[in-house]
Amino acid sequence: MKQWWGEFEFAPGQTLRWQIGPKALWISRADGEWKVASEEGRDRLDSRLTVAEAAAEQVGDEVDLKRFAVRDDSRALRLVPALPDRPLIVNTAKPFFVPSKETATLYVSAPLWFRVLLAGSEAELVDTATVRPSDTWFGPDTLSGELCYASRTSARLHMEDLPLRPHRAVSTVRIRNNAASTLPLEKLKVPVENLSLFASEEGHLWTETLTLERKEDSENASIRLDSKPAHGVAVTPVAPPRSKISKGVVLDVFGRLFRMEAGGRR
Amino acid sequence: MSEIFGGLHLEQLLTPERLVTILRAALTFGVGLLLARVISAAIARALRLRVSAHESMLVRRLSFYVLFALVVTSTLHQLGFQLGVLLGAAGVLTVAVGFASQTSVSNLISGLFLVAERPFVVGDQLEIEGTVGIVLSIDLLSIKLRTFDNLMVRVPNEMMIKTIVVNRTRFPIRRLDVQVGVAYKEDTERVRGLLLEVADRNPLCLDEPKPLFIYKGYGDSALELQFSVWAKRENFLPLRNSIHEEIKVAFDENGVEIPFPHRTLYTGSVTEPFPVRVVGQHADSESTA
Repeated sequence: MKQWWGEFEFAPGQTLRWQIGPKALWISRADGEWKVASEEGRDRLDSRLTVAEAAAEQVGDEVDLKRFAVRDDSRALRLVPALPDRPLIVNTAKPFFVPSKETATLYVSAPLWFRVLLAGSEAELVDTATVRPSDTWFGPDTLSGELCYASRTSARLHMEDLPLRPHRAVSTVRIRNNAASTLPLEKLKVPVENLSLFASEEGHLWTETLTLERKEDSENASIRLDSKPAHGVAVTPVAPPRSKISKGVVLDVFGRLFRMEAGGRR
Repeated sequence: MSEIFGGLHLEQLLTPERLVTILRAALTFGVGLLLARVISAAIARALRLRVSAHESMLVRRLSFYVLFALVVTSTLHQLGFQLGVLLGAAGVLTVAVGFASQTSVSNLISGLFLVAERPFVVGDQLEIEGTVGIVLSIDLLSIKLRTFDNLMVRVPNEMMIKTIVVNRTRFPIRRLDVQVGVAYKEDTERVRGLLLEVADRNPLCLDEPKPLFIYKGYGDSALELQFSVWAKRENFLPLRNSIHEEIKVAFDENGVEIPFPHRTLYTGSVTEPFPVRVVGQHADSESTA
Protein backbone atom coordinates (compact mmCIF):
# COMPACT_ATOMS: atom_id res chain seq x y z
CA MET A 1 0.00 0.00 0.00
CA LYS A 2 1.23 3.46 -0.87
CA GLN A 3 1.92 5.68 2.12
CA TRP A 4 -0.29 8.74 2.37
CA TRP A 5 1.68 10.66 4.99
CA GLY A 6 4.93 12.63 4.68
CA GLU A 7 5.99 16.04 3.41
CA PHE A 8 4.38 17.50 0.30
CA GLU A 9 5.52 20.47 -1.80
CA PHE A 10 2.93 22.72 -3.40
CA ALA A 11 3.31 25.05 -6.35
CA PRO A 12 1.50 28.39 -5.95
CA GLY A 13 -2.18 27.95 -6.67
CA GLN A 14 -1.92 24.15 -6.73
CA THR A 15 -4.60 21.90 -5.19
CA LEU A 16 -3.83 18.33 -4.16
CA ARG A 17 -6.39 15.73 -3.24
CA TRP A 18 -6.19 12.72 -0.94
CA GLN A 19 -8.71 9.96 -0.41
CA ILE A 20 -7.95 8.08 2.81
CA GLY A 21 -10.65 5.47 3.24
CA PRO A 22 -13.96 7.31 3.60
CA LYS A 23 -12.29 10.72 4.02
CA ALA A 24 -11.56 13.01 1.11
CA LEU A 25 -9.04 15.79 1.72
CA TRP A 26 -8.16 18.78 -0.44
CA ILE A 27 -5.27 21.09 0.30
CA SER A 28 -4.52 24.12 -1.81
CA ARG A 29 -1.86 26.80 -1.68
CA ALA A 30 -3.56 30.08 -2.50
CA ASP A 31 -2.23 33.61 -2.28
CA GLY A 32 -1.10 34.16 1.33
CA GLU A 33 -3.11 31.27 2.69
CA TRP A 34 -3.50 27.49 2.91
CA LYS A 35 -6.94 26.06 2.32
CA VAL A 36 -7.69 22.69 3.87
CA ALA A 37 -11.02 21.04 3.09
CA SER A 38 -12.28 17.62 4.02
CA GLU A 39 -15.38 15.54 3.64
CA GLU A 40 -16.33 12.22 5.24
CA GLY A 41 -18.14 9.71 3.06
CA ARG A 42 -21.02 7.62 4.38
CA ASP A 43 -19.44 4.23 3.70
CA ARG A 44 -17.27 3.30 6.69
CA LEU A 45 -15.80 0.28 4.93
CA ASP A 46 -14.53 2.38 2.04
CA SER A 47 -10.84 1.52 1.61
CA ARG A 48 -9.90 3.68 -1.36
CA LEU A 49 -6.52 5.35 -1.27
CA THR A 50 -5.41 8.28 -3.40
CA VAL A 51 -2.32 10.23 -2.48
CA ALA A 52 -1.56 13.84 -3.45
CA GLU A 53 -3.37 13.74 -6.75
CA ALA A 54 -3.49 17.04 -8.62
CA ALA A 55 -7.04 18.36 -8.44
CA ALA A 56 -8.07 20.95 -10.95
CA GLU A 57 -11.44 21.98 -9.67
CA GLN A 58 -11.99 24.34 -6.77
CA VAL A 59 -13.44 22.80 -3.65
CA GLY A 60 -17.20 23.07 -3.37
CA ASP A 61 -18.98 24.97 -0.64
CA GLU A 62 -20.58 21.89 0.93
CA VAL A 63 -17.35 20.50 2.40
CA ASP A 64 -15.73 21.59 5.65
CA LEU A 65 -13.23 24.24 4.53
CA LYS A 66 -10.69 25.97 6.75
CA ARG A 67 -8.31 28.78 5.73
CA PHE A 68 -4.97 29.58 7.33
CA ALA A 69 -3.08 32.82 6.73
CA VAL A 70 0.68 32.23 6.29
CA ARG A 71 3.82 33.90 5.00
CA ASP A 72 4.36 33.89 1.26
CA ASP A 73 7.36 31.54 1.30
CA SER A 74 5.49 28.67 2.99
CA ARG A 75 5.41 25.98 0.31
CA ALA A 76 5.37 22.60 2.03
CA LEU A 77 3.04 20.79 4.42
CA ARG A 78 3.44 17.66 6.46
CA LEU A 79 0.64 15.12 6.71
CA VAL A 80 0.96 12.89 9.79
CA PRO A 81 -1.31 10.02 10.83
CA ALA A 82 -2.35 9.96 14.48
CA LEU A 83 -4.33 7.72 16.79
CA PRO A 84 -7.63 8.86 18.39
CA ASP A 85 -7.45 11.44 21.16
CA ARG A 86 -9.49 9.34 23.58
CA PRO A 87 -9.32 5.64 24.56
CA LEU A 88 -11.01 3.14 22.27
CA ILE A 89 -13.55 0.66 23.62
CA VAL A 90 -13.49 -2.69 21.88
CA ASN A 91 -16.12 -5.36 22.39
CA THR A 92 -15.48 -9.02 22.02
CA ALA A 93 -17.84 -10.53 19.47
CA LYS A 94 -18.85 -13.44 21.73
CA PRO A 95 -18.44 -13.87 25.50
CA PHE A 96 -14.74 -14.32 25.98
CA PHE A 97 -12.90 -15.64 29.03
CA VAL A 98 -9.25 -15.72 29.99
CA PRO A 99 -8.70 -18.42 32.65
CA SER A 100 -6.30 -17.90 35.52
CA LYS A 101 -2.58 -17.92 34.57
CA GLU A 102 -3.39 -17.83 30.84
CA THR A 103 -2.43 -15.28 28.21
CA ALA A 104 -4.59 -14.16 25.32
CA THR A 105 -3.44 -12.18 22.31
CA LEU A 106 -6.04 -9.98 20.64
CA TYR A 107 -5.84 -7.81 17.56
CA VAL A 108 -7.61 -4.48 17.65
CA SER A 109 -8.06 -2.03 14.82
CA ALA A 110 -8.28 1.69 15.57
CA PRO A 111 -9.50 4.41 13.19
CA LEU A 112 -6.87 7.00 12.33
CA TRP A 113 -6.83 10.75 12.57
CA PHE A 114 -4.67 12.90 10.35
CA ARG A 115 -2.81 16.04 11.27
CA VAL A 116 -1.74 18.70 8.80
CA LEU A 117 1.36 20.59 9.92
CA LEU A 118 3.33 23.44 8.37
CA ALA A 119 6.68 22.04 7.32
CA GLY A 120 9.46 23.67 9.29
CA SER A 121 7.57 25.31 12.14
CA GLU A 122 5.45 22.18 12.78
CA ALA A 123 2.46 24.41 13.58
CA GLU A 124 -0.70 22.35 13.46
CA LEU A 125 -3.41 23.38 11.02
CA VAL A 126 -5.89 20.51 11.21
CA ASP A 127 -6.39 17.42 13.37
CA THR A 128 -9.43 15.40 12.29
CA ALA A 129 -10.66 11.84 12.08
CA THR A 130 -10.68 9.93 8.79
CA VAL A 131 -13.83 8.33 10.12
CA ARG A 132 -15.41 9.79 13.25
CA PRO A 133 -16.13 6.93 15.69
CA SER A 134 -19.20 7.02 17.87
CA ASP A 135 -18.86 8.28 21.44
CA THR A 136 -19.30 5.79 24.23
CA TRP A 137 -19.23 5.74 28.01
CA PHE A 138 -16.80 3.58 29.95
CA GLY A 139 -17.48 3.35 33.65
CA PRO A 140 -19.34 1.41 36.30
CA ASP A 141 -22.48 3.58 36.06
CA THR A 142 -23.87 6.77 34.55
CA LEU A 143 -22.49 8.90 37.38
CA SER A 144 -18.81 8.23 36.93
CA GLY A 145 -16.66 7.08 34.06
CA GLU A 146 -14.87 8.33 31.02
CA LEU A 147 -15.95 9.39 27.56
CA CYS A 148 -14.30 7.14 24.97
CA TYR A 149 -14.70 6.16 21.34
CA ALA A 150 -16.53 2.98 20.38
CA SER A 151 -14.83 0.69 17.93
CA ARG A 152 -16.98 -0.62 15.10
CA THR A 153 -14.98 -3.80 14.80
CA SER A 154 -14.63 -6.30 17.59
CA ALA A 155 -11.33 -7.65 18.84
CA ARG A 156 -10.00 -10.63 16.85
CA LEU A 157 -7.98 -13.60 17.95
CA HIS A 158 -6.38 -14.08 14.54
CA MET A 159 -4.67 -11.33 12.65
CA GLU A 160 -5.94 -12.67 9.30
CA ASP A 161 -9.51 -11.86 10.38
CA LEU A 162 -8.68 -8.17 10.59
CA PRO A 163 -8.72 -6.46 7.20
CA LEU A 164 -5.93 -3.90 6.82
CA ARG A 165 -7.28 -0.59 5.61
CA PRO A 166 -5.45 2.67 4.85
CA HIS A 167 -7.36 4.60 7.49
CA ARG A 168 -6.93 2.14 10.33
CA ALA A 169 -4.02 1.00 12.49
CA VAL A 170 -3.72 -2.39 14.17
CA SER A 171 -2.67 -2.93 17.78
CA THR A 172 -1.65 -6.21 19.34
CA VAL A 173 -2.99 -6.50 22.88
CA ARG A 174 -1.63 -9.24 25.10
CA ILE A 175 -3.75 -9.97 28.14
CA ARG A 176 -2.11 -11.89 30.94
CA ASN A 177 -4.39 -13.02 33.73
CA ASN A 178 -2.25 -13.55 36.82
CA ALA A 179 -5.20 -13.39 39.21
CA ALA A 180 -6.70 -16.50 40.76
CA SER A 181 -10.07 -16.05 39.05
CA THR A 182 -11.13 -16.27 35.42
CA LEU A 183 -11.32 -12.94 33.61
CA PRO A 184 -14.62 -12.45 31.79
CA LEU A 185 -13.92 -10.06 28.96
CA GLU A 186 -16.89 -8.23 27.50
CA LYS A 187 -15.23 -5.00 26.57
CA LEU A 188 -11.73 -3.70 26.66
CA LYS A 189 -10.43 -0.16 26.92
CA VAL A 190 -7.38 0.36 24.74
CA PRO A 191 -5.52 3.58 25.66
CA VAL A 192 -4.73 4.43 22.02
CA GLU A 193 -3.86 8.04 22.85
CA ASN A 194 -0.75 6.68 24.59
CA LEU A 195 0.41 4.54 21.65
CA SER A 196 2.75 5.46 18.81
CA LEU A 197 2.43 4.59 15.13
CA PHE A 198 4.82 2.52 13.03
CA ALA A 199 4.72 1.75 9.32
CA SER A 200 5.54 -1.68 8.00
CA GLU A 201 7.35 -2.23 4.70
CA GLU A 202 4.03 -2.82 2.96
CA GLY A 203 2.81 0.57 4.15
CA HIS A 204 0.40 -0.63 6.83
CA LEU A 205 0.22 1.18 10.13
CA TRP A 206 0.78 -0.62 13.43
CA THR A 207 1.11 0.40 17.05
CA GLU A 208 3.52 -1.12 19.52
CA THR A 209 2.40 -4.22 21.37
CA LEU A 210 0.46 -3.54 24.53
CA THR A 211 0.57 -5.92 27.49
CA LEU A 212 -2.17 -5.78 30.10
CA GLU A 213 -1.45 -7.71 33.24
CA ARG A 214 -4.23 -8.44 35.68
CA LYS A 215 -2.82 -9.12 39.12
CA GLU A 216 -5.85 -9.36 41.36
CA ASP A 217 -9.59 -9.91 41.06
CA SER A 218 -10.49 -6.53 39.72
CA GLU A 219 -11.09 -4.69 36.49
CA ASN A 220 -7.66 -3.06 36.68
CA ALA A 221 -4.49 -4.04 34.92
CA SER A 222 -0.97 -2.72 34.78
CA ILE A 223 0.03 -1.58 31.31
CA ARG A 224 3.34 -2.20 29.58
CA LEU A 225 4.28 -0.97 26.12
CA ASP A 226 6.83 -2.71 23.91
CA SER A 227 9.21 -0.60 21.91
CA LYS A 228 7.80 -1.74 18.56
CA PRO A 229 5.05 -3.81 16.95
CA ALA A 230 5.25 -7.58 17.25
CA HIS A 231 4.55 -8.05 13.54
CA GLY A 232 6.55 -6.80 10.63
CA VAL A 233 10.33 -7.09 10.59
CA ALA A 234 11.36 -3.68 9.36
CA VAL A 235 9.16 -1.01 10.86
CA THR A 236 9.75 2.72 10.84
CA PRO A 237 8.33 5.05 13.49
CA VAL A 238 5.76 7.42 12.00
CA ALA A 239 4.14 9.34 14.84
CA PRO A 240 4.75 9.68 18.58
CA PRO A 241 1.91 9.15 21.10
CA ARG A 242 -0.48 12.03 21.83
CA SER A 243 0.37 11.76 25.51
CA LYS A 244 3.04 9.74 27.27
CA ILE A 245 2.07 7.09 29.79
CA SER A 246 4.18 6.37 32.83
CA LYS A 247 5.66 2.88 33.12
CA GLY A 248 3.61 0.19 34.83
CA VAL A 249 0.62 2.46 35.38
CA VAL A 250 -2.55 0.72 36.55
CA LEU A 251 -5.77 1.56 34.72
CA ASP A 252 -9.25 0.12 34.68
CA VAL A 253 -9.38 -1.51 31.29
CA PHE A 254 -11.70 -4.50 31.61
CA GLY A 255 -15.32 -3.53 31.61
CA ARG A 256 -18.60 -5.31 31.87
CA LEU A 257 -21.43 -4.49 29.55
CA PHE A 258 -23.61 -1.73 30.83
CA ARG A 259 -26.70 -3.00 32.53
CA MET A 260 -29.14 -0.14 32.49
CA GLU A 261 -32.14 0.05 34.68
CA ALA A 262 -35.07 -1.25 32.70
CA GLY A 263 -38.42 0.42 32.43
CA GLY A 264 -39.76 3.38 30.60
CA ARG A 265 -39.62 6.00 33.26
CA ARG A 266 -39.99 9.37 31.65
CA MET B 1 -24.15 83.04 58.28
CA SER B 2 -22.68 80.45 60.56
CA GLU B 3 -25.83 80.25 62.70
CA ILE B 4 -27.69 77.08 61.93
CA PHE B 5 -30.17 74.83 63.73
CA GLY B 6 -31.56 77.51 66.01
CA GLY B 7 -28.61 78.98 67.83
CA LEU B 8 -26.19 76.11 67.41
CA HIS B 9 -23.01 77.56 65.98
CA LEU B 10 -20.97 75.74 63.38
CA GLU B 11 -17.80 76.90 65.08
CA GLN B 12 -18.95 75.16 68.25
CA LEU B 13 -19.79 71.97 66.40
CA LEU B 14 -16.59 71.81 64.35
CA THR B 15 -13.80 72.49 66.74
CA PRO B 16 -10.36 71.76 65.27
CA GLU B 17 -10.00 68.66 67.48
CA ARG B 18 -13.32 67.28 66.35
CA LEU B 19 -12.53 67.99 62.73
CA VAL B 20 -9.30 66.03 63.06
CA THR B 21 -11.15 63.12 64.68
CA ILE B 22 -13.76 63.03 61.91
CA LEU B 23 -11.10 63.27 59.24
CA ARG B 24 -9.11 60.49 60.87
CA ALA B 25 -12.22 58.29 61.11
CA ALA B 26 -13.10 58.98 57.45
CA LEU B 27 -9.54 58.14 56.47
CA THR B 28 -9.63 54.92 58.51
CA PHE B 29 -12.89 53.97 56.86
CA GLY B 30 -11.75 54.77 53.32
CA VAL B 31 -8.34 53.13 53.57
CA GLY B 32 -9.79 50.18 55.51
CA LEU B 33 -12.46 49.58 52.86
CA LEU B 34 -9.87 49.73 50.10
CA LEU B 35 -7.56 47.37 51.99
CA ALA B 36 -10.42 44.94 52.68
CA ARG B 37 -11.22 44.82 48.96
CA VAL B 38 -7.60 44.39 47.92
CA ILE B 39 -6.83 41.75 50.54
CA SER B 40 -9.94 39.65 49.87
CA ALA B 41 -9.29 39.81 46.11
CA ALA B 42 -5.66 38.80 46.68
CA ILE B 43 -6.69 35.83 48.84
CA ALA B 44 -9.17 34.72 46.18
CA ARG B 45 -6.56 35.08 43.43
CA ALA B 46 -4.02 33.10 45.42
CA LEU B 47 -6.55 30.31 45.92
CA ARG B 48 -7.96 30.32 42.38
CA LEU B 49 -5.58 27.70 41.04
CA ARG B 50 -6.15 25.31 43.93
CA VAL B 51 -9.91 25.52 44.52
CA SER B 52 -13.01 25.83 42.33
CA ALA B 53 -14.45 29.15 41.17
CA HIS B 54 -17.28 28.61 43.63
CA GLU B 55 -15.03 28.18 46.64
CA SER B 56 -12.74 31.05 45.72
CA MET B 57 -15.80 33.31 45.48
CA LEU B 58 -17.00 32.19 48.89
CA VAL B 59 -13.60 32.81 50.46
CA ARG B 60 -13.48 36.24 48.87
CA ARG B 61 -16.91 37.19 50.19
CA LEU B 62 -16.26 35.85 53.65
CA SER B 63 -12.86 37.52 54.06
CA PHE B 64 -14.33 40.80 52.82
CA TYR B 65 -17.18 40.73 55.33
CA VAL B 66 -14.84 39.98 58.24
CA LEU B 67 -12.48 42.80 57.24
CA PHE B 68 -15.40 45.15 56.66
CA ALA B 69 -16.71 44.48 60.16
CA LEU B 70 -13.26 45.28 61.57
CA VAL B 71 -13.09 48.53 59.60
CA VAL B 72 -16.54 49.64 60.79
CA THR B 73 -15.67 48.84 64.42
CA SER B 74 -12.42 50.76 64.34
CA THR B 75 -14.07 53.71 62.58
CA LEU B 76 -16.73 53.89 65.30
CA HIS B 77 -14.01 53.60 67.89
CA GLN B 78 -12.16 56.52 66.28
CA LEU B 79 -15.31 58.61 66.43
CA GLY B 80 -15.45 58.01 70.15
CA PHE B 81 -18.37 55.61 70.33
CA GLN B 82 -18.29 53.21 73.23
CA LEU B 83 -18.82 49.85 71.55
CA GLY B 84 -20.06 48.22 74.70
CA VAL B 85 -22.84 50.80 75.02
CA LEU B 86 -23.67 50.44 71.32
CA LEU B 87 -24.01 46.68 71.65
CA GLY B 88 -26.26 47.17 74.68
CA ALA B 89 -28.49 49.50 72.69
CA ALA B 90 -28.45 46.98 69.87
CA GLY B 91 -29.78 44.38 72.30
CA VAL B 92 -32.82 46.55 72.91
CA LEU B 93 -33.30 46.98 69.21
CA THR B 94 -32.85 43.29 68.44
CA VAL B 95 -36.53 42.44 68.80
CA ALA B 96 -37.62 45.24 66.51
CA VAL B 97 -34.85 44.55 64.02
CA GLY B 98 -35.53 40.83 64.22
CA PHE B 99 -39.14 41.29 63.16
CA ALA B 100 -38.19 43.69 60.44
CA SER B 101 -35.44 41.55 58.99
CA GLN B 102 -37.18 38.20 59.25
CA THR B 103 -36.99 37.47 55.51
CA SER B 104 -33.39 38.55 55.19
CA VAL B 105 -32.29 36.41 58.11
CA SER B 106 -34.22 33.44 56.80
CA ASN B 107 -32.48 33.87 53.44
CA LEU B 108 -29.14 34.26 55.16
CA ILE B 109 -29.54 31.04 57.13
CA SER B 110 -30.82 29.22 54.03
CA GLY B 111 -27.76 30.50 52.19
CA LEU B 112 -25.48 28.99 54.80
CA PHE B 113 -27.26 25.62 54.48
CA LEU B 114 -26.99 25.81 50.69
CA VAL B 115 -23.27 26.46 50.90
CA ALA B 116 -22.82 23.55 53.28
CA GLU B 117 -24.94 21.15 51.22
CA ARG B 118 -23.37 22.11 47.88
CA PRO B 119 -26.12 20.83 45.57
CA PHE B 120 -24.65 23.02 42.80
CA VAL B 121 -21.65 25.22 42.15
CA VAL B 122 -21.05 28.38 40.12
CA GLY B 123 -21.34 27.50 36.43
CA ASP B 124 -23.91 24.71 36.82
CA GLN B 125 -27.11 24.74 34.80
CA LEU B 126 -30.17 24.78 37.07
CA GLU B 127 -33.88 24.46 36.55
CA ILE B 128 -35.96 26.14 39.25
CA GLU B 129 -39.73 26.16 38.82
CA GLY B 130 -39.51 26.44 35.05
CA THR B 131 -36.62 28.89 34.98
CA VAL B 132 -33.47 27.49 33.44
CA GLY B 133 -30.16 29.25 33.79
CA ILE B 134 -26.50 29.10 34.63
CA VAL B 135 -25.43 29.96 38.18
CA LEU B 136 -23.53 33.26 38.15
CA SER B 137 -23.02 33.66 41.88
CA ILE B 138 -24.15 32.32 45.22
CA ASP B 139 -24.62 35.24 47.58
CA LEU B 140 -25.70 35.72 51.17
CA LEU B 141 -29.36 36.34 50.39
CA SER B 142 -29.87 34.94 46.91
CA ILE B 143 -28.36 33.13 43.99
CA LYS B 144 -28.11 34.77 40.61
CA LEU B 145 -28.85 32.91 37.41
CA ARG B 146 -28.21 33.90 33.82
CA THR B 147 -30.91 32.50 31.58
CA PHE B 148 -30.18 31.50 27.99
CA ASP B 149 -31.94 34.59 26.66
CA ASN B 150 -29.41 36.55 28.72
CA LEU B 151 -31.59 37.73 31.58
CA MET B 152 -30.40 37.90 35.16
CA VAL B 153 -32.70 36.06 37.54
CA ARG B 154 -32.37 36.47 41.29
CA VAL B 155 -33.68 33.54 43.30
CA PRO B 156 -33.94 34.01 47.10
CA ASN B 157 -32.01 31.36 49.05
CA GLU B 158 -35.12 30.53 51.07
CA MET B 159 -36.87 29.43 47.89
CA MET B 160 -33.88 27.30 46.87
CA ILE B 161 -34.23 25.40 50.13
CA LYS B 162 -38.00 24.97 49.81
CA THR B 163 -38.54 24.00 46.17
CA ILE B 164 -37.29 21.32 43.81
CA VAL B 165 -34.11 22.38 42.08
CA VAL B 166 -32.90 20.34 39.09
CA ASN B 167 -29.18 20.43 38.43
CA ARG B 168 -28.78 19.57 34.76
CA THR B 169 -25.01 19.46 34.70
CA ARG B 170 -24.16 17.43 37.78
CA PHE B 171 -23.59 14.12 36.01
CA PRO B 172 -21.42 13.70 32.93
CA ILE B 173 -23.95 12.04 30.60
CA ARG B 174 -27.65 12.65 29.93
CA ARG B 175 -30.47 10.71 28.35
CA LEU B 176 -32.63 12.15 25.61
CA ASP B 177 -36.13 10.70 25.28
CA VAL B 178 -37.49 10.93 21.76
CA GLN B 179 -41.26 10.46 21.65
CA VAL B 180 -42.30 9.06 18.32
CA GLY B 181 -45.61 7.74 17.02
CA VAL B 182 -45.93 5.42 14.03
CA ALA B 183 -49.01 4.24 12.17
CA TYR B 184 -50.66 0.99 13.30
CA LYS B 185 -49.89 -0.69 9.98
CA GLU B 186 -46.12 -0.41 10.51
CA ASP B 187 -43.96 -3.36 11.48
CA THR B 188 -42.51 -2.31 14.85
CA GLU B 189 -39.50 -4.63 14.49
CA ARG B 190 -38.55 -2.74 11.36
CA VAL B 191 -39.14 0.61 13.06
CA ARG B 192 -36.92 -0.48 15.94
CA GLY B 193 -34.21 -1.48 13.46
CA LEU B 194 -34.42 1.89 11.71
CA LEU B 195 -34.21 3.80 14.98
CA LEU B 196 -31.22 1.80 16.19
CA GLU B 197 -29.49 2.38 12.86
CA VAL B 198 -30.06 6.15 13.17
CA ALA B 199 -28.54 6.08 16.67
CA ASP B 200 -25.63 4.00 15.44
CA ARG B 201 -24.88 6.43 12.64
CA ASN B 202 -24.92 9.53 14.85
CA PRO B 203 -21.46 9.95 16.41
CA LEU B 204 -22.78 12.06 19.30
CA CYS B 205 -25.12 9.29 20.41
CA LEU B 206 -23.33 7.08 22.93
CA ASP B 207 -22.79 3.47 21.98
CA GLU B 208 -23.01 2.50 25.65
CA PRO B 209 -25.34 2.88 27.56
CA LYS B 210 -27.30 1.29 24.74
CA PRO B 211 -30.28 3.16 23.26
CA LEU B 212 -33.59 2.12 24.80
CA PHE B 213 -36.70 1.26 22.82
CA ILE B 214 -39.92 1.34 24.81
CA TYR B 215 -43.56 0.71 23.87
CA LYS B 216 -45.56 3.47 25.48
CA GLY B 217 -48.97 2.20 24.47
CA TYR B 218 -51.74 2.24 21.87
CA GLY B 219 -52.54 5.86 21.21
CA ASP B 220 -55.59 7.38 19.56
CA SER B 221 -54.03 7.48 16.15
CA ALA B 222 -50.54 6.02 16.51
CA LEU B 223 -48.48 3.35 18.20
CA GLU B 224 -46.66 5.38 20.79
CA LEU B 225 -42.98 4.62 21.16
CA GLN B 226 -40.15 6.08 23.16
CA PHE B 227 -36.62 5.94 21.89
CA SER B 228 -34.05 6.97 24.51
CA VAL B 229 -30.47 7.74 23.60
CA TRP B 230 -27.54 8.90 25.71
CA ALA B 231 -25.15 11.76 25.07
CA LYS B 232 -22.39 13.59 26.80
CA ARG B 233 -24.10 16.53 28.57
CA GLU B 234 -22.31 19.12 26.38
CA ASN B 235 -23.61 17.33 23.28
CA PHE B 236 -27.20 17.05 24.51
CA LEU B 237 -28.60 19.89 22.42
CA PRO B 238 -26.70 19.03 19.21
CA LEU B 239 -27.87 15.41 19.57
CA ARG B 240 -31.46 16.48 20.20
CA ASN B 241 -31.46 18.54 17.02
CA SER B 242 -29.67 16.04 14.82
CA ILE B 243 -31.44 12.87 15.90
CA HIS B 244 -34.97 14.19 15.41
CA GLU B 245 -34.04 15.26 11.91
CA GLU B 246 -32.34 11.95 11.14
CA ILE B 247 -35.31 9.91 12.39
CA LYS B 248 -37.65 11.90 10.16
CA VAL B 249 -35.36 11.39 7.15
CA ALA B 250 -34.98 7.64 7.86
CA PHE B 251 -38.77 7.24 8.21
CA ASP B 252 -39.41 9.18 4.99
CA GLU B 253 -36.83 7.14 3.07
CA ASN B 254 -38.30 3.85 4.27
CA GLY B 255 -41.95 4.84 3.98
CA VAL B 256 -42.72 4.65 7.70
CA GLU B 257 -45.75 6.79 8.42
CA ILE B 258 -45.87 9.23 11.32
CA PRO B 259 -49.66 9.65 11.45
CA PHE B 260 -51.80 12.66 12.17
CA PRO B 261 -54.77 12.25 14.52
CA HIS B 262 -57.51 10.31 12.67
CA ARG B 263 -61.28 10.84 12.87
CA THR B 264 -63.53 8.09 11.51
CA LEU B 265 -67.15 8.98 11.06
CA TYR B 266 -69.39 5.99 11.77
CA THR B 267 -73.09 6.13 11.36
CA GLY B 268 -73.81 2.86 13.18
CA SER B 269 -75.06 -0.42 11.72
CA VAL B 270 -78.68 0.65 11.71
CA THR B 271 -78.21 3.75 9.65
CA GLU B 272 -77.76 4.04 5.94
CA PRO B 273 -74.27 4.79 4.64
CA PHE B 274 -73.39 8.44 4.13
CA PRO B 275 -74.63 9.63 0.74
CA VAL B 276 -71.70 10.76 -1.37
CA ARG B 277 -72.12 12.98 -4.40
CA VAL B 278 -69.34 13.60 -6.86
CA VAL B 279 -69.28 17.16 -8.08
CA GLY B 280 -67.44 17.98 -11.29
CA GLN B 281 -65.61 21.15 -12.21
CA HIS B 282 -68.70 22.89 -13.59
CA ALA B 283 -70.58 22.67 -10.36
CA ASP B 284 -73.07 25.35 -11.45
CA SER B 285 -74.27 23.55 -14.57
CA GLU B 286 -74.53 20.19 -12.71
CA SER B 287 -76.53 21.57 -9.86
CA THR B 288 -79.00 23.18 -12.23
CA ALA B 289 -79.34 20.02 -14.36
